[in-house]
Amino acid sequence: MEKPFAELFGQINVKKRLNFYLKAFDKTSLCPFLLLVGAKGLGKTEFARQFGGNLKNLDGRNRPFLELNCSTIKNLEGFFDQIFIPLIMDSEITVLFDEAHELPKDVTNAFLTIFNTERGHTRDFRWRDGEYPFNFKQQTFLFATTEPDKLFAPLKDRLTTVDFEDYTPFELAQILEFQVTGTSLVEGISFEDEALLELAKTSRGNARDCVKVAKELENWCAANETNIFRLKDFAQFCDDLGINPLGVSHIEKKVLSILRRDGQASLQELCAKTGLSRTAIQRDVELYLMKKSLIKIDGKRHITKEGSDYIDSHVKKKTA
Amino acid sequence: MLTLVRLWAIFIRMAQVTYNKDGTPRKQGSGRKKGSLSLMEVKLSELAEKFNPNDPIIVGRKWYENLFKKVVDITPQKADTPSAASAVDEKIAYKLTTFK
Repeated sequence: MEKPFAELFGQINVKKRLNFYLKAFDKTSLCPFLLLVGAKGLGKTEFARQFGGNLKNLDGRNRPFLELNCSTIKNLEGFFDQIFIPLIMDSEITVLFDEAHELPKDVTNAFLTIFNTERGHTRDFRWRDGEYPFNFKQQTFLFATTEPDKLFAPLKDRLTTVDFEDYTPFELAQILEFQVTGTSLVEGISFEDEALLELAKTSRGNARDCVKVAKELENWCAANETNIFRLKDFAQFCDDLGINPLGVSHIEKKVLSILRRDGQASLQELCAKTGLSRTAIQRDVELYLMKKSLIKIDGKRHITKEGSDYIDSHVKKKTA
Repeated sequence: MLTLVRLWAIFIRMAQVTYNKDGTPRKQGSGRKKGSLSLMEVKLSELAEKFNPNDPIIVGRKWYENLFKKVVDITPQKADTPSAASAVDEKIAYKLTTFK
């Protein structure tokens, strides 16, 4: 049998923990209520799906996997009527509550009672005129969120948190290569290692974006009738598709250029010069530039040496 | 002679066309047939055997108003059902995967 998560790269600690829970499940048919936490595009849903795919029913068959988007659950009545009664009750199933921080208040409160399982693996939840039986040997509940701070603290206490880490450039390169060589429309695309690494860096540390870059690359190779991607092709690829090295967006590049020219700027000056709101600059622009050490903030915004080098090598060279 | 009688009968029917409240002509044959009755006579003692003093029974509003000289204002109840748009809004999005 194939090893669990064999097709997923990186997230070593997540894999270790999930493998541990799979082993325990084989012996006990029980799994803690897992809360997968991580930034967008790190693979929470994909890991949950593969985890669910490795859970077996009591008769040895694979357990079905139900994925719910919590933002579409409006109230407890809808949850019981549309989901619990037709799909979960008396069934063996794994349920993933994606974007769990969007759960409405009444569902969250009900879950506080339902997931309080100190006295056993079953729970009969009484609500209005009905009684809703939960059996956690038959039903496995998983949660995933990008914003754990928005999850109601008592509910979070009942869940077991599994944190996702950022991917390294090498892991992103592996994901990219697997996507291209595994599903490519063009026969046998191969890479120079450095080109692959540079490509991976444009995904901003995001595995989902890596998959998108892989698709763009397939199209680029097909259009240029080539099946070898070299470092010298990287600049042309970026130019053709409007991609900046390190995946820096055009507005981030504009802010960097302003700081390169003026040396420093206040947040208000950046707002005036870019036409963006303070929140947009703080949340959408500065965070990534700081993550990549291209700027630093100490009251005012300054460009770092790496930031200056970036602009000098990628912008000035292009205009020259 | 027979044709003349038929023509006359058709003319009479055309002259008797009645209209609905919205102005459209009322469909032929709609309404109660002549001689048919939806109400019937029953002794009060027979009803009393079947009902307790506080049981609700349904009576004609006009009859009640005539008898008790009270005007009853009954506003039609609005159906408490969500609109089609909100019903669509409240659909929970899910994806069910079965593994082989």
